[in-house]
Amino acid sequence: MQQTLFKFITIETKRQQIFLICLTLLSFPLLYALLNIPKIIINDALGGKHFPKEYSGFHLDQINYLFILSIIFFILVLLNGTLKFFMNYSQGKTTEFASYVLREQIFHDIIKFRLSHFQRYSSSELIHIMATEVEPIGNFVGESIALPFRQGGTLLTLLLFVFIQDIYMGLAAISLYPLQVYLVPIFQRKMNILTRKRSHAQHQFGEKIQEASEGIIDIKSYALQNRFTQIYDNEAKNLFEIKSNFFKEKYLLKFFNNIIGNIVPFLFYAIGGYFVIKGHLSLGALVSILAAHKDLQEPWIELLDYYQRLDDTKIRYENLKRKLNVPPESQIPTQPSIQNEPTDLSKTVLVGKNLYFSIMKGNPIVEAASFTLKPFEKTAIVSSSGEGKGVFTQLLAGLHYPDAGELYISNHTFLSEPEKLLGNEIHFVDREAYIFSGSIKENLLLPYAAAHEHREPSKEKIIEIIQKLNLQKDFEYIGLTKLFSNLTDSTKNEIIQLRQTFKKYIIEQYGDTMIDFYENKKFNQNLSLFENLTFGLAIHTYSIEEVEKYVKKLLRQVGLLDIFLKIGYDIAQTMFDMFADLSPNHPFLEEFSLIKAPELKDYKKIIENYPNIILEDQSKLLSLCFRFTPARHRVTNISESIQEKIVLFREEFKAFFNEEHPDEFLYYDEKEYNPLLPIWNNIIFGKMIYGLAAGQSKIDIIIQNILEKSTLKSCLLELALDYNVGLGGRNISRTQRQLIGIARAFLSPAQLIVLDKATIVLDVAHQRIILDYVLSKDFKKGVIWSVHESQMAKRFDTVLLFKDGRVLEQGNFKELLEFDGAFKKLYDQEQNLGVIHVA
Amino acid sequence: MLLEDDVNLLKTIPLFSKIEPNKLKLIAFTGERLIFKKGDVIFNKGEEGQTIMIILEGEANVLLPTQKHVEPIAIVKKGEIIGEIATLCNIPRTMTLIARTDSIFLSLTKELFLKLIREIPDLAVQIIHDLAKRLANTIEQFEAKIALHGDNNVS
Repeated sequence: MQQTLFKFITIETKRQQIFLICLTLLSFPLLYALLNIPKIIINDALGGKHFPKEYSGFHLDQINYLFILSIIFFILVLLNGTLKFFMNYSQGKTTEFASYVLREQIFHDIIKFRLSHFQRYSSSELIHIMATEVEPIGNFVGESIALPFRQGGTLLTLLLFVFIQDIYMGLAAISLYPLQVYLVPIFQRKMNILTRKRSHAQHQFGEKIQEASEGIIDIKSYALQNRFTQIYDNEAKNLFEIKSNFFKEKYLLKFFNNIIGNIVPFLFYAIGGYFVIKGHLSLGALVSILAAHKDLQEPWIELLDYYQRLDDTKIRYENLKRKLNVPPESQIPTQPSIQNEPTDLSKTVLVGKNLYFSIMKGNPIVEAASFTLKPFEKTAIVSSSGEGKGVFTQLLAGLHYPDAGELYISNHTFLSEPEKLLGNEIHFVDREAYIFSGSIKENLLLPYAAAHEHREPSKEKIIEIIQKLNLQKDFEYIGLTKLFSNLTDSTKNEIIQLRQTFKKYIIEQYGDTMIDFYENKKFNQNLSLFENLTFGLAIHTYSIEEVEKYVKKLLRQVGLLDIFLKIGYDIAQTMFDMFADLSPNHPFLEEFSLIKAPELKDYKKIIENYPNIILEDQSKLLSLCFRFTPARHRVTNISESIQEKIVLFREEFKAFFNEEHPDEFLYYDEKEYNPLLPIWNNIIFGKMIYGLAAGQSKIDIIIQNILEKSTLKSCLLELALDYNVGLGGRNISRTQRQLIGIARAFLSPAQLIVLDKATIVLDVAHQRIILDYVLSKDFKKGVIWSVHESQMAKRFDTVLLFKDGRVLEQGNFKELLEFDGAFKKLYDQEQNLGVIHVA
Repeated sequence: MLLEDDVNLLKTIPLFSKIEPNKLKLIAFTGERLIFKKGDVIFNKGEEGQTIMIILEGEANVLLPTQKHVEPIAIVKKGEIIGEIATLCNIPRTMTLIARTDSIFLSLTKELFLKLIREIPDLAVQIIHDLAKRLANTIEQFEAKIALHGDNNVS
């Protein structure tokens, strides 16, 4: 960001501002001409005498003269309008450009903050800065040069015009300006104070909302809603008072300006009228002066407003600058200290000498820590809780910069390396790794987005790590149950084959007691009537209501309306039998009834009037009947003849819908893969019999068995790698997110992996698997692992005990126990507490 | 298959015999119909028993886990209710239940059952009646045992 607002304007938007000034300059002569021509028309064309006039050989009589002048006036109006359009457009564009540049600069700045500095900002604060605070600054930048130039110029042009007509009139026009120039800054100072207060109050207000949002569980569990409403009210009230005071000052000033502005015409009428009567001034000139004065008001008020906005924006810019200010000691080097090849970790040491580090000034977390590590070995860091081990671990990963002391690997000093270089050599895994929106594969290969010189790992390597972390079952399940659009034809064919194998197997083993298969010519008891009628799925751009409309229309056309109205009536009647004497807000209605509480009244009327019901009510009855699933609700029987009619209807609906929307409804076709269903559903291709106890897991086992013999299994893993995990990985589980975070580090080009209690959110089985893998010979990277229980450190090469801000003890597990110091004490304590052992 | 059929069956169960058909329909509709295959474990001894089961179709073996593969200690049949006391008193299942044939159960969660009792006061009266009768029976048996042994060594 530039130092001051005007530096920003003149440096970042220089080209735009010059263009705007040029446009503005063009507008002045036009404006002058627009004022002058009416005067010529009144004085010369209407009131003039010496006709015909001669212009470069043309003779013009009075009428022609008037017309030509009018036409010139008209052309000037058009030109002026066009010019105004361009000025407004360019100004708007400049505004947006300024916001864009400012946002870009701010984002570039904050993303490079040191971690400890960055963590001082909450995400809501950053969003507020990027989204809200930049906006008014951008708005001002657009007008910053052009407005005073244009309005000032307009004002001068108009005044010039008035002065040329009559010097006294000119003096009258500006007579009250000094008063305003005196008054405005007084008001402005008051408003500036309020602006600062407002900024502070808004910040407080935002903090309170953030607190309520983040602490909502505790607020609800301790029933603190009222207390927080009170706090919120106080902050909101404070903000309201500041803002209303601001508006009071603003409109008080406007009031004075308006009064003053209206005194001047009085002077014009009195003095100007006197001059006209005395013959010092022509009537045309007075009319023009009055017109000019009307126009004078606007630029003058605009200028005064501009002055206010200028002050306001200066404060905003300063605030923003102050908020994003990075003290020099917190700045990050951008150039590597030594340009050399990446270090071979096996031949070097990681040294810390007298390290100091604090997040909050005066509250050091690391104090005089000294140690020497072999980064290619497996090192465990152990401490009791509350010692700041996490921060110490982050420091070793190069995420923080020590306040004092030295920290280096071979000749890379952490203090002077840019983050990028360290990021390529050391990879850090947090307690809860962040997973970004995008595919699983993109997340796994994220480190390579910064390390271009390294080749991405092969597919086999990725799958190997996935298997090592025991993720393949999870991934296969993702592949089975999520939707993918990128299946090859051979995969689709295989799925159809598996569908047949599965069906054969189920029918042999269970007959028709497990799955109600989708068969084109058979009514499906476990699908709703709507699904039975349409027998397929619409692509996602259609809502169910839209498709329902088509079904209803066609039912009417083919004469099935009465049959379905009767079914709907029977259902409604049964629902009323069961639920009618419950209170309207009874939970049963919401949970079980096909007719929800708000609809009860409507359906009651429909039942009473049946079968004489209006079109709208027919539609309601049909909707009710559509929701009915025979096997689930069992309130009425669908006779075989109706079932046949429904099956026949499917074909008609297909033709009917396809006519208007070809390829937008995918029918359940036994011989086709349905891309709107996940692979799991494509294989079973039917509905599980309603109420089948543990049905899902029984079917899962059968599908797993079938998959074992198929090549689709490996395909599932690859599909899962393409699965989009959503913002923050919210489409996958917490365990999966963390495992992907760990896998990402293992796959990264970094030679040293630093883990901060990275397995604590996982189940014990996974914790053990990962620990075993990391400590095995297969694992070719160096590891520094801040373990969450001392027992885990057993098989590590080196153990560091971090206590009171320093490395108190160092050695292997056995040595430290024998040493009988703080580590032994901690270990014994944990043993007595009965910690579950992972090591 | 139809709700009506379940209602007719419920009518034959003493606990439900005095309840009006509409309310029986509500019970049948709100309860979960569960289909078990022969050999499926319906529940295990020691599990938290939070549902009342009514056998709509089929039979089930009652077992104690120590004798899993021997003869069942009892067989429960269509129309019987299982677990109403355990559910109401929050005690774990005292036995294991395994489907003897393919069977269908109507399962009422504790939460649902309590709501139903609130809606259908007759049901509450019937339950009190039922429990009182059982208590009387137990006391009677107990006294008979004491009379037989003539001492306090009753296990």
